[in-house]
Amino acid sequence: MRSAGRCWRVIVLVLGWNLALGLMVALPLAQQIENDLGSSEAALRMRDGFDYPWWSAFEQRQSGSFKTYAPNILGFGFAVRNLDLLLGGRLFGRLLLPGTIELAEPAADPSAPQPLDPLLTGLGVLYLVTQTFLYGGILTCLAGTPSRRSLASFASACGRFFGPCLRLALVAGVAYLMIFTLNRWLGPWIDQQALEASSGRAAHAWVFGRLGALLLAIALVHLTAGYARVGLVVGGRRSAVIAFGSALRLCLRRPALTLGHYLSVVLVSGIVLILYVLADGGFEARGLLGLLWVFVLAQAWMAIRIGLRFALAGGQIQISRAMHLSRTPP
Amino acid sequence: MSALILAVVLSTGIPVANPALPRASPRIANYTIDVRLLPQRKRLEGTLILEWRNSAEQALSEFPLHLYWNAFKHNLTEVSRGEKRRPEARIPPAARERAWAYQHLRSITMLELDGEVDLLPTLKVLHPDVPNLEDQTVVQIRTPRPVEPGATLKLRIEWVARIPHGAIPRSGWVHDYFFMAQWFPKLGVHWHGAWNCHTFHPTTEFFADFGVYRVRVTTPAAYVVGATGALRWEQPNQDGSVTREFYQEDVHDFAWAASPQFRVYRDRFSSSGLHPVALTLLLQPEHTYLARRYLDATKHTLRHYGRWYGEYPYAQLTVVDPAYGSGSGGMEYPTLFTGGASIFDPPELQKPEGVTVHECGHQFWYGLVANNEFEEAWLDEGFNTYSTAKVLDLVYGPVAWAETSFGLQYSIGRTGIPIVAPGVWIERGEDRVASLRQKGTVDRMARRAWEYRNRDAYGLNAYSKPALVLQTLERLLGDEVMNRVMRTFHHRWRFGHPTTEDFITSVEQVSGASWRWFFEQTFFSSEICDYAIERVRNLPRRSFEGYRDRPGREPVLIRPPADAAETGAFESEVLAVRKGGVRLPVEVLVEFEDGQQLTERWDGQERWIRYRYQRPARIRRAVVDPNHALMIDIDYANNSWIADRSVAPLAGLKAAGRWLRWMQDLLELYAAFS
Repeated sequence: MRSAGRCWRVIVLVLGWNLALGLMVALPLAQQIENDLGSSEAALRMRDGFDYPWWSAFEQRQSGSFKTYAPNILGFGFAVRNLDLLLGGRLFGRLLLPGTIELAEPAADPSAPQPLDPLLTGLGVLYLVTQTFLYGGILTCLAGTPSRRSLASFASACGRFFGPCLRLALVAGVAYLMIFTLNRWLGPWIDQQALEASSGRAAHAWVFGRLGALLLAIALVHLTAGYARVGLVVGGRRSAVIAFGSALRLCLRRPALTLGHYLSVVLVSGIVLILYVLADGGFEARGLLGLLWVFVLAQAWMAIRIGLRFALAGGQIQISRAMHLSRTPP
Repeated sequence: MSALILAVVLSTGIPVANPALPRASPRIANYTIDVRLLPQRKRLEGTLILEWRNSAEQALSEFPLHLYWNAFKHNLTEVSRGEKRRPEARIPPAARERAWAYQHLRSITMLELDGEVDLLPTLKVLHPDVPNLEDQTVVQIRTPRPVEPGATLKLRIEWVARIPHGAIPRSGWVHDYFFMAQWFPKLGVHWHGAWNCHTFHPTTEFFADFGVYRVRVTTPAAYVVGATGALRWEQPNQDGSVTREFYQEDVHDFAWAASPQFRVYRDRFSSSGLHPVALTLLLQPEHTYLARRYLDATKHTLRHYGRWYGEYPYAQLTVVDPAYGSGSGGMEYPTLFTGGASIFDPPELQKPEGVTVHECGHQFWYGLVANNEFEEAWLDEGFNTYSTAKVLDLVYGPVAWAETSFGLQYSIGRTGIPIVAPGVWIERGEDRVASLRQKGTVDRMARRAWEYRNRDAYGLNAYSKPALVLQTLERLLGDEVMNRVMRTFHHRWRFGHPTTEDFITSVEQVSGASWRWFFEQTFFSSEICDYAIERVRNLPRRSFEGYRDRPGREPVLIRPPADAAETGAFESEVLAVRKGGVRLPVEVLVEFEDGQQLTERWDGQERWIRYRYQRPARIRRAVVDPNHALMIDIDYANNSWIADRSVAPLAGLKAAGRWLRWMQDLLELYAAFS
C-alpha cells in the first residue's frame, strides 16, 4: 500500500485517462438525455430521482452505446452488471461468448447472449492496451528508488517494457481464451444439467458452480500474469512465456501466500465498494453542487480502486523479492 | 363543446341495477371420469362418461371433440410449427422424443336406454381453422340419429395418453411432478348456432361448456394430489395405488397435479359479505418461505375481486406451486391455479404475488365469465390484467425494477439473482406501455388469437393493450362508473360466454352514453395514442404602435414611448399536438407564474390546437392530460412543458454521471486483461 501511495501521481495519470475515455461517451450521453428530456416534467423527475416511463421510451429510441444507460447501473448494480458481462464472455465481441443449447421447444427462446456495444468494447481494448503500455512505468515506480520516480524515467520504463508486457498480455490472453473456450464447450452441458435439475436450488448450484469456476480460473490467470509482469519488469526476465511459467510455478508453490494476498486485496476492494455505494446512495443530488459532490466521490472511489490495483502489484513485487524470484534491477 | 366531450362529461352513469348473480351454470357438459396415472410409463389411462344436453334450437348429429395433447404428437402440428422452431438435427433425440405426446381414443360409445352404439368408426379429423392435414387436435364423431333440442347425449370414451415432458407445454411431467391440463377428450361448444371447436394453435387457450365434474384419480400412494373441486373421498387400492374422487359443479374444465414432493398448507379465506373459501396450497419444498406470501396474495384477490365483481362462489381453491423446470406455472383452471416462484424472490418485485393475483383473478375472468379464449383472448386476459394491476397497486404499491444476473440465458431457466435498482418504481400500467409503443401498430387488438402476426403481437393485444385501454376507460368514466360497468358485466355473464359486443353494451348501458367511438379506436384499431405539448411561448406584450382610430376623425399615428419598456404583460401560447391516430378528448392544464391555473378541454380530433393568452404572468407549466387519464398514450414524457431550462441539463449530467461510473469501472475490468 505504501508503494502505491508513493506513486500517487501515476494513479492520478491513470485516473485521468480512465475518466477521459469515459467522458468520451458520457458527455454526448448527457447531451442526448438533456435533448430527449427537453422541457418536460420528466426532467424534474430525473433530476430528483428516476422516471421510469421516460427511460422506457428513451431506451427504445436509442441504439449503440446510449442503449446501455439503464437502471441496472444504479446502486450496486453497476458492479454486478460488469461482473455479469465478464462471466458472460461479452467483453470482447463474439470471441468469448458461451455456447448455447438447442432446445426442442420453440417457445423456450434462448435469448442469445449479445456482446457489449462495439464502441464501448473498443474503448475497453484501448484502455487495456494503454495499461499494458503503462505497466512498465507503474511497476518501475512501485519497485524503484525515489530517485527513479520522475516523469522521464516513468516514460522511459513504459517504452522499454511495452514490448515484453504486450507479449505477456498475449500469453495471458491465450490463457483466457482457453478458459472461455472450455466454458463454451462445457457450458452447454452444465446448462443442460441445470435445466434438467430437480429443483431450483440444484439448478442454481450448477449455474453458480460454473460461473464460480470460471471466475476462479480468470482470477488465477490474472494472479499469475501479475507475477509474470513483475518478473519481466522488475526481475529482468526477457521471455514472456518463461515469465508466465515461472509465475505459475511460484503461485502453485506458495498458494496460501500468493492467493491469500490476492484475495485480501479483493476483499478490501469489496469493502471499499460497499462503503462507497452506501455513501453515494445516502445522498440524492439535485443541484450543481450536489452533482459535483457525487462526481468527486465517484472519482475518489475510482482512484482508490486504481490504487488497490497498484497495491496488488506492489505486494506482488514484495512477495517476488522475498521469494528471490526477481533479480535486482539493472 | 363537442359531442365527444359531452359524452365523457355526462358519463356519470345510469344507476342500472346489477343483475342478480346466477347461482348455477347451465350445466350443459357433465363429465364423470376415471383416470389412472402411470408415472413410470408417463401414461394416462382413462374412461369418461360425458352427458351433454342439447341447448341449441336445432337437432345435432355431429359432435367435435378437442384432443389437445395431439398438438405434441409430432413436428407438423400447428403448435409444433410455431415460431422459432429449431432444426431437429441439433436437438438430442432423447430430448425430442420425450416431448412428444398423444391422446388416443380406444373406444367411443353412445349410451342409450336400449343399448350402446359404437361411434368409433365415424371418427374423423377436422381442420376448422387452417388446412394443416397433419394436425389432429380436433376430431368429430357422428351419431346414428340426431340429438333433439333439450335431449341429452351420453357418451363413454376410453382413451390412453402419453404424457409430454412438461418443460414447455402447460401439461406434462418434470421428474416426479405431473400437471394434467387439457388431459381428457373434451367436447366443443355449440355457440351462436354452430359448433365452436378450434384447432389448438401456439397462442390459443380454451373454450368449453359449464357442467358438473366428478373425477376419480388413481395414482401411486406416495403422490399428493391437488385438483379442481373438493376431495370427496380417497381409498387405498390393493396394488399400492390410491384413488381419490374430486367433485365440482358449475365449471368448464378440470385440472390436477400430482407429486410426492408437495408440501401442503391449508388456510381459510373469510371476509365480511363474502362466503368463506378453503384454501389449499401445494408448495415445492424449496419455496416454503413463500407460503404466507402465496396465501396472502390469494386472499387479497378473493377479497377485492369478490367485492368489485361478485363473490367467488365455490367452497375451495387450490394453489399449485409448480416444480422447477415445469411449464405449468402461471396458468388458470377452475378452482385451481398455478403460481410461479424462484428461490430468489425479493418482495419488492412482487413475485410470486403478481402471478398469484393474476391467476387467482382468472377465477373471475375465465372461470366464471367464460369467454371464448380462441377468438377473444383479451376478454379474460386483458380484463384480468387490468384487475390484477388494480389489486397489486392497492395492496402492494408500485413494483420495483430489477435485472437478473448470473442466471441461465434461457427463458425457461428461471435462475439467477435479481438485482433491484434502488429508487426505480413502476406505477400501475407503466410497465405495459413499452410493448404498446414498440408493437402497437403491428395488429389491431381484436383478432382471433391465432391470427396475430406473432407471439409478441398476441401477448400485447391479449394482455397489455386491453388492460391499458380499460385503465384509460376507467379514468375517463371515473372509478365509480367503471366499477359498476365491470360489476354489471360480470353479474350478467357469470356462467356465460360473453363477447366484446356484450361488454360494450354493458359500458353503454351503465354509463348512459355511446362509447362505440372509443372502442373503434382502441379495441378495433392498431392506431396509437400520443398527445404532446409541442411548444410554449411567452413573449412580452407589445406596446401599441401604428394608427389608432379616433371618433369622427382620421386615425392618428401612435409611436411607442421612447423608453419602450415591457408593459409587464405577456402574450403566451401553448401548442398541443396529437401525434398518434387515436383521437380522444383530453385536458390541457396551463399554469402561470402567478399561480393561476387554467384547464382547457380539447376534443383531440384535429392534429393540433393552440391556446393563446394575454396575462400579466408568463406560463410556467403546461401539461396535456395532466391526470394521466390516457394510459394508452405511448409517451407520457412529451405531455408536459416547464419553463425552467436548467432542469434538463442537470438531469442529463446526473444520469450520465451514473453511467460514467459504470463505464469507468468497466474500463478497469478491461485493465485486468493486460
